[in-house]
Amino acid sequence: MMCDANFTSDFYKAIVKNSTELISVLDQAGEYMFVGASVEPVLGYEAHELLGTNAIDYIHKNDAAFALSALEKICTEKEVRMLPLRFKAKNGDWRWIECTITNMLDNESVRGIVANSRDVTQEVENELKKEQSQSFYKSLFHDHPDAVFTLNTDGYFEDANKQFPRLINYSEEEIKGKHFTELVHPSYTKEVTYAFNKALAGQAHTIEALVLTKQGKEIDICVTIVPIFFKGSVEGVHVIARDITQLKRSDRLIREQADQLNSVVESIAEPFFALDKQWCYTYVNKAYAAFLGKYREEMLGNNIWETYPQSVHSLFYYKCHEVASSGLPVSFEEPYSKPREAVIRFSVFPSSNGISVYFRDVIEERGLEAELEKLSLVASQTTNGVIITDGDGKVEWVNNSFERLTGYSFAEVLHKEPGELLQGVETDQETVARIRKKLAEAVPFSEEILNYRKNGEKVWFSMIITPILDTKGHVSKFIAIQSDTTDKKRSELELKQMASDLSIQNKSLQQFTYFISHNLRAPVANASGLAALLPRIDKNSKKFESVLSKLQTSVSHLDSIIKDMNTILSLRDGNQLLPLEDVNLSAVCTEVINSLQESIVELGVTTLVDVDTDCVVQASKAYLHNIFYNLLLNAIKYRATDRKLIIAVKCRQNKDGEVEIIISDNGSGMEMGLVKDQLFKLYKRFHLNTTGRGVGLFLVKTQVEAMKGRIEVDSTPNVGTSFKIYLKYNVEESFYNR
Amino acid sequence: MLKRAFIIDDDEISLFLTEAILEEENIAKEYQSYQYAQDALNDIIEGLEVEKIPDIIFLDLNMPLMSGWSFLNRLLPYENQLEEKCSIYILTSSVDIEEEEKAKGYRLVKGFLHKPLEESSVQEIKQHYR
Repeated sequence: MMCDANFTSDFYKAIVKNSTELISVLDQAGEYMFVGASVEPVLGYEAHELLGTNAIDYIHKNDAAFALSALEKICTEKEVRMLPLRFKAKNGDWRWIECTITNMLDNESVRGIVANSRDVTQEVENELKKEQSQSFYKSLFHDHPDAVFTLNTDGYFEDANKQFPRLINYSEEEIKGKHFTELVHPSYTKEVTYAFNKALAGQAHTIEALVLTKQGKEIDICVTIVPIFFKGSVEGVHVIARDITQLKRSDRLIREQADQLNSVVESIAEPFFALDKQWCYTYVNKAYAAFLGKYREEMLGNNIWETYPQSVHSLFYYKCHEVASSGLPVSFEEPYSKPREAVIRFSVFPSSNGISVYFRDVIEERGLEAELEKLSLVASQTTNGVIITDGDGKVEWVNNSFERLTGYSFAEVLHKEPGELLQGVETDQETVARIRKKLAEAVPFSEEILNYRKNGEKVWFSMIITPILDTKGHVSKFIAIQSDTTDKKRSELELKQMASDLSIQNKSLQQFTYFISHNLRAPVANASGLAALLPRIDKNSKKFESVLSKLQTSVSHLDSIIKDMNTILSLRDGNQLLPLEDVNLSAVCTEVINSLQESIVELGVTTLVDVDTDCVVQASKAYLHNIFYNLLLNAIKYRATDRKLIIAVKCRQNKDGEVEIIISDNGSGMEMGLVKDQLFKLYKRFHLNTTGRGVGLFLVKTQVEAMKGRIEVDSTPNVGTSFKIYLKYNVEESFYNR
Repeated sequence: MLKRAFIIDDDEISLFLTEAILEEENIAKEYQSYQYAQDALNDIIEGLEVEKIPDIIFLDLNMPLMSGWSFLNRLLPYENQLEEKCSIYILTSSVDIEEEEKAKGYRLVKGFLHKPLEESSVQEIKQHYR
């Protein structure tokens, strides 16, 4: 359409001017050689204004380099399409100009670079706006602080933001292609699938669900599912997920604590209630409702002072107001006479929206306290010792009298068993065992026991011990009351000793009566019988002589019995003050054997004496002599007729601090079963054909016992007899201190 | 007159005296004296078989080895056989009332006498057997 004769130059001019295309011609340096008239409606310049100026100068400095490179490029290329660049309009605005430059330097009629420009400001700005809004939404997706992801309509992951891996630990790559149900806890699959489908149906909404991390950890999330509309249909869903595990946990915790608190308050046996700032009940526990005989439901929301106008101006009323204004808790007691005598102890606490009140009746406690005070006065002031122990018998408290009676202070006995400190060597172990048994049986009992004071002094205590049982029947305490019975006990022991002495005395008196009755009377009876017989017999007959001689025998028998009696009586009376001395056993033994020498030689008796020449006993020498004499004489008297007599005397010390003297023979012996009860009795004889009167062994036993010793006998018929005498070798103490 | 009288007493003189008094009073045809109760017991038990038992026994209580009480106890198994045939009189020097009471517990014991034996006592016994 270059040249046509049919079109005038004006024609071209008009077209160019009204075209939206701006045509200009530049030289190689960019200077305008021609500017089409359409420049004016586009940029506001008159065409001539631009002629001779350089196009680069109008271009935005950010775009200038780009324009210059296009100018360079056009020298070697036919045509260059340039991206839009900013060109300064006459009014100073920047206009976006899209430009195509064509190299027409070789064209004779042009000789320049033709630029076809178009104002694309509107398009560029639209584009930019679009780009900007896209980036806004991208930020909403990628930079959202919650995990955001996209699922396609089949429920597979398409995209996820950078928070997403932090939530469930799957990386963006790992998650792509997974189905959402793979991440949801099985118990929530149904619910979540439903929500997903609801979103696909076009409804955005929010649900809570439990999901699993890559490691299988359960986390609570809150998800908002938003359908993605594209051209009227849903192309997928956006999901915004937030970890609410902590939130849930604290929520649960708060709920649990609230429940717990509620049950605590409910379970308090004492009345409890809460009032708001308007004095209306906001909480009433069971006990309070029961206390007032009302239902909780009918009380809640009611004003306490309106419900109970009689309480207005009570101490309680003022204290409640005090707490409400001061914000500090108070406790106080207020006595009531109606509906019954009571002392109510109130505790009023401030709370964020009012006050809480807790109260109980303490009238019984008051009474108990007063009683306890009195009891404690009794326990601490009594002259008896009082011990209170725990259930295991460990001391919890003792009174002053305990300290006075035992010498031990409270601190010294605390947490100890009293017996540990008080019992000693002479304390009767049977009594101790009895006490233990009674304590274990948990029954009240009394005992008398020998204890020791701290200074070692002996003291007799009469103890009354009472177990205190708890509601389950277990012993929680023992209370022991001790009184000093030492004086009583001492006189009791003295009485006992006296009774025992009397009993011995009585026994010997009985024995004496028996002796008189049997032994003294026998010769008397004989004598009197013979004397009565005598006149009836012919004086010249042999019988008369025989009776007369028997009368003489009887009288001399009587005489010897009276002599024995004298010996025995003097022995018995003398026992009380018998002086003991050191006696050499070996020497006494030798003396006795010598005195019996005549019989020993005549009968060919062998004496075997095995007595240490140093052996010394505490004894009466005369008694010891008599004992040896009688026993040796007996051995000789009751020897076996068919064999030579052997008498052995042995002596040894045993571990009980005694000297054991054994005198044994091989004589005729005795049947122990027959004689053992009678052997040492006065005028008991066991052999018919000898001269014994039945005094010797009685004397031996009496004398051994006078020296605080004892005697035993063992015998076998026709084998021999063995006497064992035990004497203490240090008898002084026990003898004189009886 | 009684056939046979036993006297049991460890005291020789007493034995002699009792026999002498019984002879004087002519209470029995035959007198047997025992110093040892066991011997008398043996004779009685043997005599049971041949109907040769004493009609009367004078028994001392206080004797060695076998006392009068032991003797009485040993006779207990024969009480039924001896009753009606044999009477026992305790003859003791004791004046103990308790012993007299104790003796009443034995069916064979018919009397309790104190030494020395007196004429009158023997005559009373004789009356009894007339």
